[in-house]
Amino acid sequence: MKRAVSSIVVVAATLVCLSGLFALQPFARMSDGLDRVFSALPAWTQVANMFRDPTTQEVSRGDSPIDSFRTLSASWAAHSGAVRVMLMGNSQSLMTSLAPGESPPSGPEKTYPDHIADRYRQAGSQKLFYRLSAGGMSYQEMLWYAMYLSGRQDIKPDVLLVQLNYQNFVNGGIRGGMLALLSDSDFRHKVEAIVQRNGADADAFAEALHTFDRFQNRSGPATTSAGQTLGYRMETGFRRQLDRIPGFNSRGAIKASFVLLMTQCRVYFLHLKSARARTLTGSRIAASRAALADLAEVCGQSGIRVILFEAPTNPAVPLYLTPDDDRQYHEFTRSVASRFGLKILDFEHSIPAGEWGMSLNVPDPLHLGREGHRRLAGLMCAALDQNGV
Amino acid sequence: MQFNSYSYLLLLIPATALFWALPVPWRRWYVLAMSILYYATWNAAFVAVPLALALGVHLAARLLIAQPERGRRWFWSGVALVLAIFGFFRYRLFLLANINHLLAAFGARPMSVAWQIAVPLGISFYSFEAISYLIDAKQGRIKKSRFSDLYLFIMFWPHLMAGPIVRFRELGPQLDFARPFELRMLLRGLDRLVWGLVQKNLFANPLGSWVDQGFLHNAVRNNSTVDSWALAVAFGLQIYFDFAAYSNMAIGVAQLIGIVLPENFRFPYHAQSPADFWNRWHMTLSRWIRDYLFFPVTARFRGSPGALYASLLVVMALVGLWHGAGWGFVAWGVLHGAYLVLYRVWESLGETRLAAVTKSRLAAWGWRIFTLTAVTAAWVPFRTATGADAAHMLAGMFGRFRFGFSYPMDFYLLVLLMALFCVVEPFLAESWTRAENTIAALRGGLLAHSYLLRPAIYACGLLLFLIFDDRSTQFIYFQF
Repeated sequence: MKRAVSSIVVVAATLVCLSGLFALQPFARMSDGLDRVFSALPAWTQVANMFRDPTTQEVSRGDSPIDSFRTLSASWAAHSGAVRVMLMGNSQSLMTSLAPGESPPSGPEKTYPDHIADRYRQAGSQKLFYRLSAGGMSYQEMLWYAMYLSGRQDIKPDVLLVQLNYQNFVNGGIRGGMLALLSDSDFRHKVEAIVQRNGADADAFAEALHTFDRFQNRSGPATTSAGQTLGYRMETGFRRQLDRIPGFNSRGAIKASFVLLMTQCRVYFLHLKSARARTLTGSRIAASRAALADLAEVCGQSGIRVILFEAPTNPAVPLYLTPDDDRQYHEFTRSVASRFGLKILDFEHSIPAGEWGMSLNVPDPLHLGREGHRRLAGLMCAALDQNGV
Repeated sequence: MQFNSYSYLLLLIPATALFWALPVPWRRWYVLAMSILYYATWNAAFVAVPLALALGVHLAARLLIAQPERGRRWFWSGVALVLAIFGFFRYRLFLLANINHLLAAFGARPMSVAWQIAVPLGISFYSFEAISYLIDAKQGRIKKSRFSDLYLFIMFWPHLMAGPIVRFRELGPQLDFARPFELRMLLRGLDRLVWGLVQKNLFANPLGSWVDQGFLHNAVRNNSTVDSWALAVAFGLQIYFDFAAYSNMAIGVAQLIGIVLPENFRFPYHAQSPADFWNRWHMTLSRWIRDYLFFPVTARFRGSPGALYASLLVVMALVGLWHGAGWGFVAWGVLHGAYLVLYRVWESLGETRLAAVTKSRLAAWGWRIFTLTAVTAAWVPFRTATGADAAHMLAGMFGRFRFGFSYPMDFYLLVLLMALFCVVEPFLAESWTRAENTIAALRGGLLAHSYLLRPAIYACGLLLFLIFDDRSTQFIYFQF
């Protein structure tokens, strides 16, 4: 009996400690502590309360786009005849990093796509604006979305604004949440066609197909037979029940705070910033370039007008290591534009240094402040008007 | 159910409690039932495979023991049966692909299989265990073959899927489950289980996502020299953490019900030579190969170094093939065979006038560095999809130098961090043991350690496991 009690005490104590850790959010506390030690800007400058509207934004940020597309389909169906404008980009279009001197948020903060959507709505114009963005979105993911949208008349945009960003060319792969789109058989055929063509961007698509099939088989290793196994069904049931426990769902937030803590350690102790001037080489670049060209081609074939735009860059954070990097990058984007007859809107140097946020005591290379978002929205609206959108 | 799935971990608690609540004679049947159920959660149809294998091996072993004069015949019949089942599931498609390759070269029509059958999980592991059972029976270590013993030995769930590869003489005597419960045993089991969960989710999986992308065909073609090295190191670390995690969990879970399984890893990247690497990496497989393949071969070719070295290469090629039906695995095995041959040649120089050189510190460090580099390079054919990709990547690592960083800085930092962890791992393990002993020696220290410190550490480990949980990942060695 005594032995049984001793085991129960160990297990119970472990569970109590675990609950305590969930409640305590230890990494967030450590992260705050580090910020205090290194006199970082207050946490509210990295705005957490962002404006949310499922009719103008893909709110899952790539985690569950199917749900978002369902909402979009219903929303756009109610405005038949309107011009549909969609923007694809990375976290620059999702987040606000308040610039020094900007006041703390008094409500949900809006990004430049939200301001554009507001303008269109306020003007009563027959234009609908939608933001289809995700943090660190790769060009393969943009192509992934473009291929999917081109086969769905209900959510196919008339105009697709594609963000060009030098550092973004280093991102690759298709994130897990986007794989669910493969359940659409037409889309799957298109993906398989890309894989069979075996271009530089084929790998990510092949890997996505492989991962999706493996996960669909639900049997774990690909070596076992297909079909939903007992183990899979049990696991799904357990997860569903666990997710009902208060606090258990905060796993994502705790992981984010852990990752932030690691980033802080890197920046504060090793002085290694998130973005630094670099020469982009290698596989990722080849794949990103191929994906961008494929995106232009796919959209062209399905009647979607693509407009590329050079994302603003922070003047205080040089991204190109050498003038050659700068030249080669722009030569490439121009060559894609001229090959497919696309327009490029250049906002690269449009936002002054004072309208950018700070991140971990260094100028944020990517995220605009409140005024920066407003300015970019104005510039983009004007440029779109000029180009007949 | 994977070892790191929520369902497995949550069911493990009541399953373990019930085990200890049962009368001792019932426990073996309970564990057998749990093991069959566990295997069935992956694929119920495949439960028949280890059953058929156990029946065949049991019959061969009984006949072998009953008719010692015909022992050789029954022994080889049993081994042939195991290899036939193993080969059928594991290698028939590989064989067919190679035959078709040859047929295509001669312009003939390729052959195809009538139906696709998946490979039963863990077959490589329990096939080797079944063979070791036959060898033990042949060598007189098993006096009487009991089917329930053999079946439980094969099916025992902690080691069923991916080892450790156990000998019957190690596990068999423990399968009466008569060991009384001890809190210390439970704590040791939990230590290993939680550490395994952390190794898998915090160490192996984050590396895996980079490795998956970096070893894709087009990526391999465009990676720089730095990228290729970083990826090869990343894969070496990933597979180590992944497999060591599985082994830790298997050993830990077995300990929860009072069973001691052999160790599988001992800081392999601290190996001082290629031979030492195999004393530290997948130790139970190395032991199996050494005892049942290599020692008989060595005995046969004593005094004939050329034949011995050739047989070493063949044995290691078979080790490679055991890992998977592909030429990349064979290449990996042959490379390791070549390293071992090289080291044997070097060792043989120790018996000549060069003895002083071979025993110098410089030589020792040279072998350390060579082993680490060579083992890392050998992971390349193991992981790449094709031989051409492997050749391309190795050329980039050793000859066709190209500078550049294709991946975000986080990837290189992660590899560096994990590599550093590997460097300090033995020292951390040693310090942990020392600290444990110190605390336990204090007045009331044992109580505090068992009921406060350990639960707190388990909770930290579980938190890391939970926040880095990714349901779509699997253990690498489950494929083998």
